[in-house]
Parts: sequence; C-alpha cells; structure tokens
Amino acid sequence: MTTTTLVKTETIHYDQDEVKKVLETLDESQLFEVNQLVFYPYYFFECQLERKSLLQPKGGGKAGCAVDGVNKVGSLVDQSPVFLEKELPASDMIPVTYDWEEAKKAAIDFVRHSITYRMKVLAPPKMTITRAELFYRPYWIAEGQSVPPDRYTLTVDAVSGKYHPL
Amino acid sequence: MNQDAIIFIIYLLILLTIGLYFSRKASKSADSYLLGDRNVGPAVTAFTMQSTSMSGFMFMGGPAMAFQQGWYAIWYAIGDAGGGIVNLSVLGKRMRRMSEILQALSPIEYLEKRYESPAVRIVGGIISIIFLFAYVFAQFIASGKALESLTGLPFSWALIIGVSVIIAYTVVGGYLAVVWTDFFQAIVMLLGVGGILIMGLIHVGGLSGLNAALADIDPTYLSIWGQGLEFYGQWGVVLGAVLIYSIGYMGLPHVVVRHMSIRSTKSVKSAILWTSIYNQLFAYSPYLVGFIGIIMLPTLGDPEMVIPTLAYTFFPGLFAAILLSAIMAAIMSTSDSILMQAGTILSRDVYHRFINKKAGHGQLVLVSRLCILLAGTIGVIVAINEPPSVFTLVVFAFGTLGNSFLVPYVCSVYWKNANKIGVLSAMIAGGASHILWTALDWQSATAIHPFLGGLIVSIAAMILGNFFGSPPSDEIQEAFYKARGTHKLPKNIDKNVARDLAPEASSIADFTGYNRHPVKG
Amino acid sequence: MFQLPVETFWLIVPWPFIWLAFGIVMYVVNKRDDKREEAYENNAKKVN
Repeated sequence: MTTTTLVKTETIHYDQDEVKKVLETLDESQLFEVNQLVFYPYYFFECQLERKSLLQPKGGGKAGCAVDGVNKVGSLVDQSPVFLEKELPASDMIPVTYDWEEAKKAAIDFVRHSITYRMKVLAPPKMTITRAELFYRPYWIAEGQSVPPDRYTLTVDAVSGKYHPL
Repeated sequence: MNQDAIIFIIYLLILLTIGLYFSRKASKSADSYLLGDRNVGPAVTAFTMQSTSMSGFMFMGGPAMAFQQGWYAIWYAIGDAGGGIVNLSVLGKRMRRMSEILQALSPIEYLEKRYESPAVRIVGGIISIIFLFAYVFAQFIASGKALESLTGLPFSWALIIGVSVIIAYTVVGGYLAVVWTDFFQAIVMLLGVGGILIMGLIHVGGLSGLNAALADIDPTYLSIWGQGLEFYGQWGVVLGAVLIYSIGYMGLPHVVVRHMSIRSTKSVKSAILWTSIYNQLFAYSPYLVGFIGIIMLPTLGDPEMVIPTLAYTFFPGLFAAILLSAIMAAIMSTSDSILMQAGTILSRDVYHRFINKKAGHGQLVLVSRLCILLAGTIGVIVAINEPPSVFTLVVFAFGTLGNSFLVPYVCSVYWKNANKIGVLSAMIAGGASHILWTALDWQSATAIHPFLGGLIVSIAAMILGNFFGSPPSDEIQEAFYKARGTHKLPKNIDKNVARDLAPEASSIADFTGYNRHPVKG
Repeated sequence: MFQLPVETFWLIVPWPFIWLAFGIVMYVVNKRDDKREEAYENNAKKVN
C-alpha cells in the first residue's frame, strides 16, 4: 500500500508513448523506457502590480511567477495555469525544502528583479499577491537502453515536453 | 531661451510620446510589459543596439581623435566595427549556459559564484562601480558640450543643466529608453551623421579629394602611425588601439549582462548579421567626418566640436538642432543604462551583500538613488574644474574595465581550472597596470598601448596566481563541462536540452538516485 | 587608391570585409543550430 496525498497538479500533455517516440526520432540508435513519473513542487504566485506610471498597462496588470520548491529559482509564467486536484502517491513527490513565507519573498524578489532589468526602472511598482498555490508538475524519467557508456537518462517535463539529462 | 533650446525640448517631448504610445500598445497585459521587446524583429533589435552604443564617444570623442591624428584614429573604428560580433561569438552561448547553471543574476554575482569567493565579488564590485562612473563622467562632459552648442550657454551652465537632466531622468525611471524610441533615435542620428558625411565628401571631392587635401596639409595624416608619425613602427600601440574596442567589450559588466539575459538564439542570429552590416556602414563615419573637419575647420579650438560645428555649417539651423537633440538624447539613454548598472551593483552586490544583509527593497532603491546623485555631483565638480577630453576619459574607463574583467569572464568558460586567486590577481593587476600605464605614460617608454599592456599583465597574473589557489569544486567543474556543451549525449539530443531545467534535473536526480554521470552507472 | 598610401590602404580597407565575412559565418553557424531545434519541435508536433 502506498500512501497518497491530495494535491494540485497539472494535466499531462505528453504521455509515455509520445515521449518515447519523440526521443527515439531524435536519437535513432537508442531505445527508451519511460515508466517512472515524479512530481516536482512549485510555489505559484499571482501578483497584482500597482499602476505607477502611464507606461504600465491599465489597472496595473498581473504577473505570474513560479518558484521551484527545492532550489528556490523563480520564473515568470505566461498564462495563469490551470490546476487539477488529484491523489498522488507520496513516494513519487519530491518534498519542498522551505516554507510559504520564504517562497513568497523569493517570488516578489524575482518579479521585482525582472522588472528592474527588463524595463530599466529603478523602483518597480508595488505588488500584492492575489493568488498563491503549491502545485506539483509531472516529470517523466526516460531511461536509454543501450549499454554504457552510450546510455543516458533524461527527465522530460510532461507538460511542456522540455527535457534535461540527469 | 533661444530657438534651438526650444527645439530640444520639443524633441524630448516627441520621444516621450513615441515611448508612451508604443509601450501602451505593447502592454496589453503585464506579461508583455515584463517581457518587453521579445516581439521586435531582428533588424530593429540590431538598430537599437547600434543606438545604445552611439554615445558621446561616437559623436564627440571619435571625430576629435580623427581630427587630431588622421587615419591612425581608424584603428579604433576597426575595433569598434567588429567588437559586437567578436563578443557574441566568444562569450555568447557559453556564458548564457554558465549563468543559467549558476543561477547568477548580475554580472558580478556571476563571478562570485563561478570562482566561489566573496572576495571576487567585493573587488569586482568596487572596480566596476568606480570605472562605470568614470565612463559616465565622459557622457556628462559630452552632454555639456552638446547643450553648449544647442543653447549658447557657457559650458559650466550647460554641463550643470545636462547632468541634472540626465540624473533626473534616470532617477525618475528612464522612460525614453524603450525599444521604439531607441529605434527612432538611431534613425535620426544615422541620417544626421550620414548627411554630414555626404555633404562633406561632396564638398571636398569624395574620398580621393579628401585624402589629397589632407596630404596637402600634412602627408602624415594619411599614415597609420599618427600625425607626425608619432607612433611610427609601434605595433604595440596599434594593436592596443584595435584590441581595446574589439575584445574590450567582453570585460564591460553592463555589456556582458546581455549574454545572461538572452532568451532565444533565434532572433540573435539575424541580429548578428544586421549588426555586422550596420557597423561596417556606420562605425567609420564619425571618424571620416573628423577628417573633413581637418580641412573645413582649420581654426576649430575644441576638436570635440567637429560634428556640432559641421552640422551648423551644412544644414539649416533647424536640422542641426534636431541632430544635436538626438545626440543629447542618445547620451541620456547611454548614461541611464550605465548609471542603472552601477547603482544596482552598488546596492545589490556591495551594500546588500556585505554591509546590510537585512536591507529592505526600499532601502536598496534609496542607496542606488543616493549613489547616482553623488556621482552626478562629483561629476559636475570634476568636469567644471578640469574637464578631461571625452576620448581620453572613455578610453581610460573602458580600458580599465576591460583589463580587469576580460580575463576573468573569458576564463570562466574557457579554463576549467581557473580559480579565485588567479582571478583576483588578474582583476587587480590588470586594472592597476592599466591605470599606471596611462597615468605614468608608460606608452612612450615601452611603445605598448595601455590596453595591450594591461591585458598582458592580466593574463600573466591569472596564470601565476592560479598556482596559489585550490582548483574549483566538483560542482563548478561539472558546470564548466555543461556550459561547454560536451555531454556524452548524441548531438540531436544535446542541441535541444532545455538548460533552464538544470536545477530541476539535479533535484530529480538526487531524489530518484539516478547518477548524473552515465559512464559511472 | 583613394589617394591613400599603399600601406594605409592595405592595412585598413580589408577590415570591413573581414568583419562582414565573420558576421555571415556566425549567422550560418547559428542558423544550422536553429534548424536542429526546429526539426525537434516539428517532430514533437507530428507526434501529437
């Protein structure tokens, strides 16, 4: 019996077969086994930006920011993501390494930094957090099947299809 | 207030309107507001890059050098014409990957993380702040000169007004610096300088007529060794003059930071092509205008006024005023970027990191603003009492930054075992030798340009100092291999790896127990 | 040429062409990389 927890997660856009197919077209000499799914935690925040000058969009606009729940790395999120609630096996979920307060601080810091760098404004607008969620994004583990040293393993983001070697 | 001053104000208002119009149009959502110019085509991007580098140096310093030295000055133009391409090709992708892996946000933080030493950050931070400000002082002086010829006010008043405008503009928010205003600016300036060049060439009988007339005045203007063959046979001087702007860009924190924020290579490739074309057309023009100045303005007192003076000679007052306004606005935009960068380095990399770790965001903004204000005040005082020439000051500041940071940045992605002691020695020895070489005029004694001298010392210090440091940690060595792109992965797979997933991948590997080295497993 | 001394002409005039050639080479190299990327994206779409 594995214990499960009810958490927010995202819909899988790339299933096992698709991932396998794409990778095998890219590297024709290798067969892949794609069985394991791990869930990676992110804190998601939606910030409401206060409108400070004429240059900013009316009403101030919103910015989405996701902070990696393990390494505290921020990234801007283009659209408001849709989450679904699901029971996930606890053994496949990577635990977060810090709490909401820290995550919030990291997110605000990151959005501010992005504004300062991209827009060349010294004092970015004030922001308030309008939505905060913890969600788990599914990642596939794709194992190459050749013999070492040609063998390698990738992790594939099941939502965007992006991958990175492990 | 005279007519030209009014034109200048109207010009600034037009820029503001363009900036407002396009940013509002572009900012339907907060995302496009944040992500800015992602949707601008490569030609516009390249043009914009052009206009941000067209600063006081290009319109005042370059022509002045040409006016004094003749064709020797073209060595600087040659370096400048290739600098952007060299910079992108050498550091471009590797540095982007490395800063992603290290998760560094500022160019100085990047050095600290790569070389695993807070001392690198503090030394780097201090050097970059001082010399970025020196670089901005040159822009201040140029702004004083531009306003002097626009308004007819005495230099000291023009300088105070110019610097106040720049500081106010930076502290309020740099709203003119939107891609489309930069684009508009670039067109006005290129048409302006191109116009002066064409009118001038017609006047003196084309390039051949120009050279013939120069030879009549003094045949050594046509030599590559400087007027009066000042640097005859001194290849060390010529090489330094070419290198400073061709490879020196790789040592400028405010330029290198661009590699760290490149999002996609797709628009970059066309931008490289466009830049290399524009540069060949325009990097040389201000210098050629300087040559025309030798013939047409034999009595000119201040060589840096070649372009403003010729503008009023060839064009009706209105057009000349518009061109000068554009130059002034370009100076504002360049100063703004540099001041911002220096202010951010001071508040984030020095104040927040070492002086007050608990400083809130508001306090950091205040620190950068005070620092910019202080720089403005010092700049005005120095410039009024003893204004150095724009050319000298830019070459000095640019050279010191280049000599301090070029070796550290290049080694960070090309030399696996480069360590903190090596880098600290390279930064300090490189910067210090450039300062001494310039201040004590070692160029005349050694026949070697200060930039080349500093570069050699910096490389030597890097190699020597490296013996005394411990090699980088395993994580950094691994990051180095990754940034180089030498995985044991098939090429097709490797090309498409999403580098931004690096932190996730490393945590997933820890979690699942997959070893990161396929060979060992 | 252009009334320039031979030395000046040959040391100066080739540079714009050298830089231009360098820019074109870099463009081609980057374009090749981008093509690989596109090929991957198209593949991913087809599979969908």
